[in-house]
Amino acid sequence: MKYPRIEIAGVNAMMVYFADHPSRALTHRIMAVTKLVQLQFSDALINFVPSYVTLLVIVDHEKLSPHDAKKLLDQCIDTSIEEVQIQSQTHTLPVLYTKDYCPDLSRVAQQCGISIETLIQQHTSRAYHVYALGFAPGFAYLGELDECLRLPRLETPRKKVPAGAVAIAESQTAVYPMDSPGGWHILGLCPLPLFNLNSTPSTPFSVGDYVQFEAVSEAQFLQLGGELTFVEDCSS
Amino acid sequence: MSPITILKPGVLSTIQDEGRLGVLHEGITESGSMDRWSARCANKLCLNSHLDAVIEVNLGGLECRVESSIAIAVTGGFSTLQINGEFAEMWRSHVLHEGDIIQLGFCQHGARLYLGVSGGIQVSPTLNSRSTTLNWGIGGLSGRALAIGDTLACSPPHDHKVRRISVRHRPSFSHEVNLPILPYSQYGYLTEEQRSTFFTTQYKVDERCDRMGYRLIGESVQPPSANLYSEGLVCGAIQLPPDGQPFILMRDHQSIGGYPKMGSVLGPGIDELSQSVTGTRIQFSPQTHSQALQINNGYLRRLENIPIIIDAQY
Repeated sequence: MKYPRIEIAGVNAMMVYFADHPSRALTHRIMAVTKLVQLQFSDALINFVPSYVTLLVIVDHEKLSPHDAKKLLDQCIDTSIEEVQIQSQTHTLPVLYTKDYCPDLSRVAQQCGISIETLIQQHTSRAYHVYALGFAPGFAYLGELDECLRLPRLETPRKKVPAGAVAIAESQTAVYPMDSPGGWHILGLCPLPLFNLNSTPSTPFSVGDYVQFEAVSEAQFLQLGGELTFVEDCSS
Repeated sequence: MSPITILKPGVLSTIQDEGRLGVLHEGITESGSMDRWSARCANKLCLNSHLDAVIEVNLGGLECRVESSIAIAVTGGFSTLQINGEFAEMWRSHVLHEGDIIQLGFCQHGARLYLGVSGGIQVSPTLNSRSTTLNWGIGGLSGRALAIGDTLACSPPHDHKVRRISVRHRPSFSHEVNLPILPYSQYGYLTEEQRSTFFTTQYKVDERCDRMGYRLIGESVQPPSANLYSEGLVCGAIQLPPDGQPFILMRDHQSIGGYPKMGSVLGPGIDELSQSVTGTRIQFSPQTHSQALQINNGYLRRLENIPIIIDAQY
């Protein structure tokens, strides 16, 4: 297959496919094109969604004909990414890794065949890359986890995971920005709000950013404004 | 003072406008009135802008009291409207005064009613929209459904003229719906036989249908297995989950997803589906890209030019 290629993705939508598989370099490329699309499509851009290997572009055809929209998107893709400066931010997120409130922690350590200390060390050992945003507002898919931490999702998702829950599943990790259902394993709690409707943008994360987790004590967690919330035990 | 007090919220009523645009990349879905045509009509009858907010009443049962003079109009499914206990016309503007009671019946056909009010429902917009996204508690009235005792702000009537929308411009309801779709994405990988199955099957609307999406039940169509990375989703997209039963994304859809897709239902089809109840039989008909554009453009033209009949004698 030829990459990048543009496919129809709806009566007023186009999807750019950039590659078979995601990588940090690819995300950089996708975000450069995303930036150009925002600048070039201007008021004709209804919505856009960058993701692992794609960019969805939804266009107002009242303002830009399908033919012109396709042509403009082609031009955005053809522009060398050196022309576009993308600033990736690194977000350091404090995490209270706690088996008192997150019963998954001990189980995950056991399933991975490591101690809780090693698990925490592994989870905080690298800056993760934001590959996609979605599922819930502000939910960032972060990768990639160390091989030793990879577990399949829960067979039965929890009906409620509290906001701030730091979770892992397969090769990815994430923080639930708000209370929601969820099928990932919960390792800890992050005290910082990660979704705020009164700020623009509503989430600190952007695709292409980096996230570094940092273990904090319960006292630090509370000092940072965290609220201790029990995560329901799903093994029972 | 707020001119509307909710006496009964009905089955599920929310504040909606035409949706929250430009933030899908933050994971925030569009939301907005499910049946855009009916919502536009309600606004137009009240001399509002199409961007004003209405109350979307799922199935029916909303009751409210008017606290000061306003104009209202009720549109949507086949139901009844009573004003102070007297049956009144839907698809028509009514000027009401302090103490008047509005009662919406339950849809006998269709599934959603729209209550438009002069000036639109005035709650502060969240990210440029008043639409409620119930799943994430965003927009509308504190992100929730309307409840007993809620008071809502709107404006006095612009005038006292009676406006109507002709019966021929209202939705018609059927147990059998033909949905034109634009095929794309994994459609290209299906066999001739699978395509023919997809387009000859009468799918039934399952009871699992809501503002997020409509699940259909019928012949299973399973695209060749592909491990797809999650990608951006559009309203109207037809997903094929592992069980091969089509799932159509509606206004509160997730922003990204990794299931294979067959294509998209077009604008008027989303309205029609929004008024389809469990058991409605759905058949898809494939359109070329230019046919699909023509259908959508025609629909947008009609939305912009909804004809209003004005009765000046009132």
